[in-house]
Amino acid sequence: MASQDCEAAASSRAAAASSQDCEAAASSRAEKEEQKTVRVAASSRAKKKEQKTVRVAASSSRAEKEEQKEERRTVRVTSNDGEEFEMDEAVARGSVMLRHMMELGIALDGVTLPIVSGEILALAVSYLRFHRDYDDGGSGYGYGYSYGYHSESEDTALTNFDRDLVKQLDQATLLDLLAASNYMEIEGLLRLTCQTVAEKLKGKTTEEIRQTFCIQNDYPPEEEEEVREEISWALEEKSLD
Amino acid sequence: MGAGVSSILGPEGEGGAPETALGDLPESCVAAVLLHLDPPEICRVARLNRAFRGAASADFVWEAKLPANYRYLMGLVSDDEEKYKGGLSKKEIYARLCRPNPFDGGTKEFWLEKVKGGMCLSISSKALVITGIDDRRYWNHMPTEESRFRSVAYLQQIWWFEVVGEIEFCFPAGTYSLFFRLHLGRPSRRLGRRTCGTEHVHGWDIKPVRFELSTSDDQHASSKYYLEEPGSWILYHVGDFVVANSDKLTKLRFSMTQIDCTHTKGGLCVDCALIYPKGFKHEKEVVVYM
Repeated sequence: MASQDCEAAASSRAAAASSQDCEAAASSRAEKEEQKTVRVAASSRAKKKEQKTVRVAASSSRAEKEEQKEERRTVRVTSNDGEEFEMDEAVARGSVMLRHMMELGIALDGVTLPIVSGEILALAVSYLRFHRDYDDGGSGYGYGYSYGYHSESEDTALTNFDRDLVKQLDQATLLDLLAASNYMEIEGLLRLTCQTVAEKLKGKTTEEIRQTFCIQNDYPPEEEEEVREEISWALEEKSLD
Repeated sequence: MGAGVSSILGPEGEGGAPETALGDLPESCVAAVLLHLDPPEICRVARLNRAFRGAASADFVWEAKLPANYRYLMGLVSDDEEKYKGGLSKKEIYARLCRPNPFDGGTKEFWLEKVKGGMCLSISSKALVITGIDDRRYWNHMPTEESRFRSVAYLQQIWWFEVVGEIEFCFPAGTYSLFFRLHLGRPSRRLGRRTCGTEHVHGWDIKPVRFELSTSDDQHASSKYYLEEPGSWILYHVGDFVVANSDKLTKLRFSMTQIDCTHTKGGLCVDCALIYPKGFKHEKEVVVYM
């Protein structure tokens, strides 16, 4: 009977032990879980901290950039004789050449134009500034020479400005401005100056044009005859009678 | 365009920089100026000097002057001359299209009027459907130098006067006017002088002739005239039509009729139907509008 008890006791002890083990195991598992949770919590807190740091860093650097952007909203353009002109980037975008330079990031320290004088650059800048107000529509992105989108009074103001701009220019200045608008790729100004020069060519004979514009005739007589032949189709009058 | 600038704005001289002259500008700048001139003016500029000759031949200048469908038009040009098979400059294409270009077996001609490059078309009497044309009592074809086709249809007399024409063509987008070129009386030359036989002229003052025009996209126009003024070629305006798309074929039907059979009419030369850009003024012609 004692052995039975013993056995029972033993088995019960074993059971107890095993259950203790289980408990221990369970508790240890629980502990581990807890630790894991703690670890997870810790790491997630760390992560959040990290992210916060990143966010703070990013926003502060963006703020910096914004600040810098505020400063860099203008571009400085210098003529070949040292005259400086500061204009808004949005205005400068009217010159395709300047726009490309700004986009490539090479206009940060200003741009010097080796072939445009101060007198001419002043005219070009005043054209860009005036047209910026009318053509841009405020977006700062597209810059076009377009009359169609304005009120009649705005259109009149545009044409008056253009007309007055070229009206008082002597021939050499007009031609310099033409060349500069070609170089700086200012489409509207190129068209305006070309139209003005074209008007002066119309209705004049070859000799009259040569005199007005001081053009040297470098044709030997045979070649001159050849050219006259070549263009005769454009000048002859066809008659059916 | 582009910033292709070498040395412009004149060299620095001892006594100060000489002023910029037109001849100092790069060729691309000169060409940009020429864009604003008409073709005859551009050609005149070529006579200035060699540099200008170059700018005046620039493809980008002439491309702007060509009609939108110039490739279609060049396709109609008979390439009987070997050299045109090679590459033509845009200027040469313009010049070629300004010549009268016959097509449809020489019964029609098209050309560009050279100042603005507008399309002109002429449909000869041989391409028109004329009621009774085969009956020599009524009509016959009369050779004459006064028609670009060297021949006109002459009406001696008829009750039923009806002339109908049709054409299908790609017109550059724009507005056009259609006319019939008519002459009362029979012109001839005798001893170097032009005379006009009016023995058959009658009936045109009784009732007017009705002129009509319609297009495949349902445009219609019409007019009526009493034919007058024997001895002169007169363009009678039929109406206008609008072409929106340079790539679409426009089909036109046009006619003139006087079919009141209570009276005969006669003594009329029918040269051709003419299509000009609206507003084009041909100084040598007398034009009548309603």
